[in-house]
Amino acid sequence: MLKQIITPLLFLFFAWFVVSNNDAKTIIAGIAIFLIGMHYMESGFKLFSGGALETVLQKFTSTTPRAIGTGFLATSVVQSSSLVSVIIISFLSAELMGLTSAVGVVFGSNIGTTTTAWLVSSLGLKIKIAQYALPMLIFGVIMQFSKHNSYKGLGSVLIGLGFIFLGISYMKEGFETLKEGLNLAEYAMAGYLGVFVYILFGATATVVIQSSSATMAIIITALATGQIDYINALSLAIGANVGTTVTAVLGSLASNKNGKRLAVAHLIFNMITGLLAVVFIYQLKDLVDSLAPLLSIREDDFAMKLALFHTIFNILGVVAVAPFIKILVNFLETLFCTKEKGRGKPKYLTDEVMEIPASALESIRKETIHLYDKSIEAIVHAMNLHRKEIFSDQNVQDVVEKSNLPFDINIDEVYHQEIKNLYSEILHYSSRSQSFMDEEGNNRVYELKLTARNIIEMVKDIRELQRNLNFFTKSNNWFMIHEYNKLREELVTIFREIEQMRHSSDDSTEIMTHIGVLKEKGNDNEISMSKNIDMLIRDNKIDSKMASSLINDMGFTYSISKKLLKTASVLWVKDQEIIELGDEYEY
Amino acid sequence: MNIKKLLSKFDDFFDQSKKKQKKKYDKLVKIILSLEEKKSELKQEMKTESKKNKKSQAVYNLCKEYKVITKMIKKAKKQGHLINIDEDI
Repeated sequence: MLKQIITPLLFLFFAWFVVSNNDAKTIIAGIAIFLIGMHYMESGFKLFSGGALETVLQKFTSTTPRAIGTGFLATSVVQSSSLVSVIIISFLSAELMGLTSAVGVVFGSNIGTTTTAWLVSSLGLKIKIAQYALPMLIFGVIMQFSKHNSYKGLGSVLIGLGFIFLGISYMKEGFETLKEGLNLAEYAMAGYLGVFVYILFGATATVVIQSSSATMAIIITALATGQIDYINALSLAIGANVGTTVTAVLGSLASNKNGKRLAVAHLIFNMITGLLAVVFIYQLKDLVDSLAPLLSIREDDFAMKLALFHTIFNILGVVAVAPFIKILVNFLETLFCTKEKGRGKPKYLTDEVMEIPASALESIRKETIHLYDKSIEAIVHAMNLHRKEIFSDQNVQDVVEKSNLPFDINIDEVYHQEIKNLYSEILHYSSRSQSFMDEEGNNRVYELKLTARNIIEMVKDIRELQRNLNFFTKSNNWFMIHEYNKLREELVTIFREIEQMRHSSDDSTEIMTHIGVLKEKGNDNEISMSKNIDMLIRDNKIDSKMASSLINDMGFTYSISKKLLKTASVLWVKDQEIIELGDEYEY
Repeated sequence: MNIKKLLSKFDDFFDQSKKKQKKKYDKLVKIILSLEEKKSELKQEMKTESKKNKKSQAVYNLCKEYKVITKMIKKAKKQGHLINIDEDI
């Protein structure tokens, strides 16, 4: 009730403040325009890069230094640490990246985010950027009408830059006119009390605005117009760094365990960095003063010096924390450990992954493998076999002959309780994620959906086969027992071969050739078995009822075998071109 | 440079389909070459094994592999016809 009254009242007060105070209005409008610019830049780069950013982040993060470097470069280019974080969390969830690499990218991203301060202090304040902002907006909007995503993305980046420049210009103008009536520099506080008070201001401002870049833009423009003292500006910058972790932690509350772990890593890193910066603030200030001439920064150019300070203390944080990255990762892995999900529940399909096509595809593939494993377990048990024996070195014939006692398994129950639900989740998630993908991605998802359907059909096929298998393996007709064992051998061989392929390091061509050979042999075996059945009928070894059951079950067996091989090619052959070559290869 | 040329250059730059087609073309050439190499190796192996025993399991396996590779090459070349891959082979 109180909340319902206080929120509108606060909003009304804020509205009155904005309308009645001309200078504040200009500054706040500048912040708002700047934030819109950041938003456009982020979505523009996402569209413009067309998956390139994801590829870079995935491929160049194998070692910690590489991960830090990639995090720095990616954030510097896209000017958004939150976009980089979203991609990293999705990669972690899809297991495309390890936690150590992800933490490395977060460290690098923290250095990368300091480039905003350089952009504002150099371009933003040195030249009349508002003049460039308007043409950028015009061309950005024109490019939005293009049908190409790359044009549209570039248009959004231009609009974003235009708004950022315009926002800085408004902020600068606001602070300059504000100075005529009110000089905030009069409230400057010296010593460590001032440092702590201004850190608190910086952190609060960042939590309220939800963007450390925007806070840095305000600090730099205020500093450039002489509204704040240099040492207080340094404290505000430290505060902005601390405040951004609060934003990250709040944002991670609705995230999965990976998002939460990264937010904790971010929090620990920024707290240590902040602490170091506070302890050594005066030494860092001196370091900046001595480095500034080397970078051609004028002695009185405090805005550029602040940008340099911001970069230096973040690098210092990385240097201090990076050697302990393994300890940090070990600690993070102990956090947010959830119990294994219930039976029939997906393991990899999380919403955080959905909007990043590469991660979404990998998650769907992994979940389809999960469905495959569950289904194979059910199929193997329905054939009265154990997976342990199937995947051992034992002779296939021996394995089959030894396992002839029916298992206590209700395949219908397993299907409805575990497999069907997982299949439905894959279909639902795939359809939702397809809207974020291009044509190629959509085709791949479609292929994975068909594979999931194939797996389900295999379970249905085995349901039919199980009944006769249990009936005839208990019969007195040795020929029927022998023929059913041959059907089981056929499937056990395929299971074993696929399991080996799955864990082999062979290239796609070799795996696809192997699958082709298995298809060919299956074809030969089917013909040979048909001939054998004909012979058994002619020799009166089996009656017509037995023959019809056997022929039907042979159909089910070879249907499962073909589906197994098709599934293996989609799930474990990495090269799409090779899959297509094998796809055409039908017998 | 007139505006049409400029626009077409922009289109070429952003048009990913041509780049993808070229990439696919190069990849197919590479695949065909490696399959052809494998095919000739298999042919040699088949000859050696046949001399020992024409009806052995090893010969049967090699025959199957040879058949699969031949079909894959045929398919790759068929795909290549669309993008004139034969010119390079």
